[in-house]
Amino acid sequence: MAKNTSTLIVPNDTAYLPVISAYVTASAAQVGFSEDEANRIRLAVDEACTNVIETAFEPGEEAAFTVACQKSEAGLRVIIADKGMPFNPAAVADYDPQAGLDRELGGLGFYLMKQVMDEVRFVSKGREGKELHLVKYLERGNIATLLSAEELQPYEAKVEPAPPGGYVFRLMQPAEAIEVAKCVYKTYGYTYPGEHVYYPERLSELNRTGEQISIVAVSDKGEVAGYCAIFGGQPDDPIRELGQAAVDPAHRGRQIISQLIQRAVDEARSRGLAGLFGEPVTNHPFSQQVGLKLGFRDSAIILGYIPQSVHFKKIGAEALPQRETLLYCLLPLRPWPAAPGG
Amino acid sequence: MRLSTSVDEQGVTLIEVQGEVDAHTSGDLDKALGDLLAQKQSRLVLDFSQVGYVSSAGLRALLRAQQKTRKLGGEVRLFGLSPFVRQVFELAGFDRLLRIAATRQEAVAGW
Repeated sequence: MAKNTSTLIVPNDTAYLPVISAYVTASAAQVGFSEDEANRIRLAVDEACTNVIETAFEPGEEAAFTVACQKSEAGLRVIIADKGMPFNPAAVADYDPQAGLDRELGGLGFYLMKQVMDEVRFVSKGREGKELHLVKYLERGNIATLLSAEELQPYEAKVEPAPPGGYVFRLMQPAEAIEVAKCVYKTYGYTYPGEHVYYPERLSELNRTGEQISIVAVSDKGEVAGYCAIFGGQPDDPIRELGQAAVDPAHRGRQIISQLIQRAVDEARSRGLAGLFGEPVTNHPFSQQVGLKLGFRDSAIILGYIPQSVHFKKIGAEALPQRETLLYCLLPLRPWPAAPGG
Repeated sequence: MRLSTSVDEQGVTLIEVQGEVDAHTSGDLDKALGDLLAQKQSRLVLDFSQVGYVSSAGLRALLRAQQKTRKLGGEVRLFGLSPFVRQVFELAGFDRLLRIAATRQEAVAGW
């Protein structure tokens, strides 16, 4: 068993909730969470385990389930696994904390979990049962706290080009996560949706679990010259998003983005993905052109998706003239069945 | 979890709760509150100063009691919540449904 993982096996009896709580609270403290944060994690795990005990088994059935804690530099992942009855997370009611005294309390437990955790993810394992992953990240480690303001200055539009040389396009190594976070920050500031990319330790952890597949362009001198990633959804989803592309201006004009994306497409294909999609903004034709050249096809348009208040540093205008529209571009990676009627 | 109940000279029922209110223990709280309501005691003040933890199961028991006391013209009030327990009430929006006071005197004020 991995050094940072432990597992508790517990009977399906609410009398064991304090045992689970003691275990989870102690694990959270070991990772470095404060007492308040550990209590919040405990609440989420308590709600998840109560749900398993009360709904996963037949009344009177004696069974057991597991609670595993995976500690990492980025935070704590708690996995509650059982082999009880199937569960449909889509059927969980939406809890409304603003409702009045006659409110329905269905969905309250899941609502609380989502309030206190960074990620709440349900994983169906088929005949092997089901898992609920609860993830809490440590607040420390944001790139803005790791590097000085000077190091994080936005890229200048015109910089001295880096000396000519070759590039290697490959999976990101954990030690490169800080350079990747820096590259994204200097390109987008804090405007890139999805905060994980600003936390190097999280980025490493997400690559370890397969939730993110980060690709880097590394120069002859070992510099991270560019970056892109496959992300979103779950590691075993057949179709995932490709994006987060950023290139250091000193290395621009050398087809780095195209080669990064091609490397990501090759990686997705080798992992058996059925497709990749991108969501380029419509005020930056370059992103669309790169996708088209690599076989991505415009499949849908998402009108006015991004608020006008979002600024894209070095992409188009400083301030958006209106809400920004996205394209949805799809690249099938294996033959798909023909659409009905088509 | 332990519960002890007393009635003051104004007919307000004080319920002292000690311990943790989770899915295992909330049934006892639910029953105790139900018994008081069956006796038409509808002005209920819960002393939560010795409660270190509450989950949604505890909130359910409190909501049920509040719905019933209101029908009887009364109310459930609480005081002495720890910062974490108060956080759970606020996350669930229960601070809108139940009067949460700092002290016992504040909780019974107006009755």
